Amino acid sequence: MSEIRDALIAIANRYPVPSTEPDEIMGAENTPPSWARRPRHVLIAILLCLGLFAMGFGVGNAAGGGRAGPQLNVPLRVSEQCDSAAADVSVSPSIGPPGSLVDISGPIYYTHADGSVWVPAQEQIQVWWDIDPSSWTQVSGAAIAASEGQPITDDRLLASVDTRGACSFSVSFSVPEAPPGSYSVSVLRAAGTDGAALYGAFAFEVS
Amino acid sequence: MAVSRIMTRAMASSDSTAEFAAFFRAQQGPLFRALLVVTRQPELAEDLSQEAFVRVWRHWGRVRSMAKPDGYLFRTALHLFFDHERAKGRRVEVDPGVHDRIAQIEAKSFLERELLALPSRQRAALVLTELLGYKSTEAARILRIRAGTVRRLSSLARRRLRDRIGEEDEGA
Repeated sequence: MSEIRDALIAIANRYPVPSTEPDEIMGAENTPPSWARRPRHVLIAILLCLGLFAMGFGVGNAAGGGRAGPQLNVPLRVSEQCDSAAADVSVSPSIGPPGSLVDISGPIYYTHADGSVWVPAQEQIQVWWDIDPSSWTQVSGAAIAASEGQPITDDRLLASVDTRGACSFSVSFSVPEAPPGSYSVSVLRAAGTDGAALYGAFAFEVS
Repeated sequence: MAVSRIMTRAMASSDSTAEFAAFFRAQQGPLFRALLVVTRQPELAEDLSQEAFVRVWRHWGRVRSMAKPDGYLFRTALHLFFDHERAKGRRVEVDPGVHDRIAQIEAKSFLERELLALPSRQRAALVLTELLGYKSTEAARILRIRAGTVRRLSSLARRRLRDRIGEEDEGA
């Protein structure tokens, strides 16, 4: 049932991937959050068992040495203002059969050349299949409507993800049924009444 | 000699950091999206994803040499979630049957609503095999269950979805 897969992909793409940097993970001094900690009675039972075990075998310090875990210190929210960056689509894989899953990601920026910051009221990154990137404006009306939450029946729109305020995006699509060959995939940035723009495009090889 | 040893160690450490950064960038999206479907809660998915990466980084020296470091990451994240479910005193195997219990993700179709209403282990099995493309043997290692159990969970989920779609069509 490919519709199950499509529904899974649709749910999975509903929220933007948090824009955490690896440095934040590597620098995190961490304690498990409260939900990851074992309940106190389980700890007491473990310590009791260790104590009994130690007494039984004459080990002196079995219950000692309870080391406090490191503290969780990872910023969880995206920043409101992202660094200025060039559009840069990462695609993986760039070749595959119909039905295979393709991941696309890239940075998002809101700072203009003059230093002013623009964050639209709505914004989506959309993935369009087999449209000519040089004349992407032919679908801009549908792209804008989709970013405003209107249902789109154009099956060339493969996937979309809401990105307002995020500093990067990541979205997946399932390769449509198509004969083997090279197809263009266009990534649009659509921001409701603020308009739409071509973010990037690449060729995907259906095997 | 000592200087060269220190330099070698520093280079190895920097390689390790770069490797982890590449691993993080490649897996951040798939992990978050998988957790989003399994947990149904964006904030929990984000927290679990970060906690799992922190744990993987802590053991990166060992994890990087594994044949499937991503499998270790997904195993860590999903078991953090199952521990979380247990800590809340909820039995994750019981079919909730109630759509709006804790779901925070908005379902936009009947099928999505039914997917989000599946028991979390059935949803996890579907996510691993259907969304992420793991074989049932690989998914079994991640979920720490038998491959046959993964197939059974996926098949139960599919049957339930088929039945519910059938009921919906009859009712329409």
